[in-house]
Amino acid sequence: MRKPHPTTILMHVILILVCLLLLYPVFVMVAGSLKTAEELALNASGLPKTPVLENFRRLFNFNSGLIIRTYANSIFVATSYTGLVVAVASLAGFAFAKFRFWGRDVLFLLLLITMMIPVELNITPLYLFFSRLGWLNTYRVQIIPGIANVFSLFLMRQYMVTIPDSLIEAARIDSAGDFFIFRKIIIPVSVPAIGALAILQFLSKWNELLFPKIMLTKERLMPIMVILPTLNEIDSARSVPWELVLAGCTLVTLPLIIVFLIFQDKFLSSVTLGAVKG
Amino acid sequence: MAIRIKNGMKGERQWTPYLFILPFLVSYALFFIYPAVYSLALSFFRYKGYGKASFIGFNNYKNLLTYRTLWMCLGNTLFYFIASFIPVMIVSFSLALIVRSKLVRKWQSLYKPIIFLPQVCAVVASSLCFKIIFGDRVGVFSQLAGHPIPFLSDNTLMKWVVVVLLTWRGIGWYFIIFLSGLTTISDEITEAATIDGAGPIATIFSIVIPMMKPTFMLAFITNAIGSLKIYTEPNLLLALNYDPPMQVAPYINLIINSMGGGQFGMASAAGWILVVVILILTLFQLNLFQGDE
Repeated sequence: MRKPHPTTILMHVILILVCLLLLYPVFVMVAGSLKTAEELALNASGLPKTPVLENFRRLFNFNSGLIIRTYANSIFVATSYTGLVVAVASLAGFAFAKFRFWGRDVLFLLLLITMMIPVELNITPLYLFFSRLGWLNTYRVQIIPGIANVFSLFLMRQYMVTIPDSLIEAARIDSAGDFFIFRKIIIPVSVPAIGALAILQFLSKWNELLFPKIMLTKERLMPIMVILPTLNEIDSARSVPWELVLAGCTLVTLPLIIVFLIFQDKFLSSVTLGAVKG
Repeated sequence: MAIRIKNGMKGERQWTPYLFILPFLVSYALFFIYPAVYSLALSFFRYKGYGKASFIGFNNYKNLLTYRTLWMCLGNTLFYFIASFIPVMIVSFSLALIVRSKLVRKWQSLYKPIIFLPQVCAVVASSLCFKIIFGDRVGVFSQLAGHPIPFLSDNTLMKWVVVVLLTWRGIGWYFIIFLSGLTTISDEITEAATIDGAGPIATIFSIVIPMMKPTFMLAFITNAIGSLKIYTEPNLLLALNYDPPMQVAPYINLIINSMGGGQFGMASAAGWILVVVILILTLFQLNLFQGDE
């Protein structure tokens, strides 16, 4: 066997060091979730001497199951939101990609221009509207407001433009209706784009903090992300139960990491498909 | 049912495309356009959230722009943006170049997921975890040093901890973007440059980087827009109960604090100032990229 070039070795050394550095915080999180409070206070950096699952048990029992409840809230909200975004965006994306209709290009351009406006701008008016409508402290308020987003529309439209017209025309000759074509031809062909969009939207909803923090005051309706940072205030006067916080962090991160490792190609292609993310 | 024209070519059935975009347009109008317009109008009023709103012209804007805290928070947000932008872009592009280089390429499926992994971690979880790594008492660094290091209590140091967190999270995303940009540059082009006597560094600067210009432009602009809206990382890292000192708070806190104080007109005006800042920064970057053509 030929000896590897010294540059190759150097590159691998650099990459391995960078990878260790990038993985270290995740290690601290997972390892810390298995340590007792006493051990964490002395040894936050290394492996746990005797791993314990006690933190997770305490976390699940905390405040009569609040963590499990809010965890389920997060999954429910992020899943329904993702489903709605994908549905709305692919319907509209199909129209913009495959129909010629009055006002199409102007409308599309106007929509793209509004991408410059940050959603954070709308927190103030939406709070006022929803408090008048009685939508505060509901699941509706967490799911519905962002379902039409231009980024998703743009992504779906760009993908659907590449679907050959001949596929659609063939179905038209068989006198298939437009919705039938959408369901039976466009959607199956667009699965890669839909998968990428779903991953991006799920992660963005999963990570959302500001919006639910403003719109919700009832803990049992909140997503887990709003609860986690408040855990270290349970006993704020004396000690901060960091081991519980780390267990909670592991709980919201580890499942995603596992899903990511299984479907990594889909995740990575979602980045490039969604490179216009703003 | 409406009458259908058989064998219709695109656009002959005029009503269907509108039907397809209807759900999007209705919810976009209700939950995005209408609130945005409403907040523009509201920014010219004093409004406590109940009772009568009183028109005060540009006073909200005037008050905000002469308010030292606004400039402080805007400065903090810009600091977080620029101080993380530089390392994120340099590191992720260098990593992409290394992973893409012929010597390492066959291992890329090993490195790609690891470098991307921080992106998959929940933002809240990563922020809390960094709080432990840099903590005074429990902190990894403090324990290793054997004495508390005030990473999260010293106003200057804590800003840098936020930058480290943003960099750690950001690298993976741009690494993947740059890597896919690099795959569009064929080996023949870079090899031709090598045959012409260009060293690897010269090839990168004179061939690869110019060819990657569209990728850079997109990456820079989306990074800027995202960074100006930063909220979660500094608020979780630097404060208990979401209330960091104003010396380190990001701009969004200004909107939230005005709302919390029942000043909805002021909060709206603060939002629109952010829109203008984003607009200026984006136009500036577009100009920069088109300028040297």
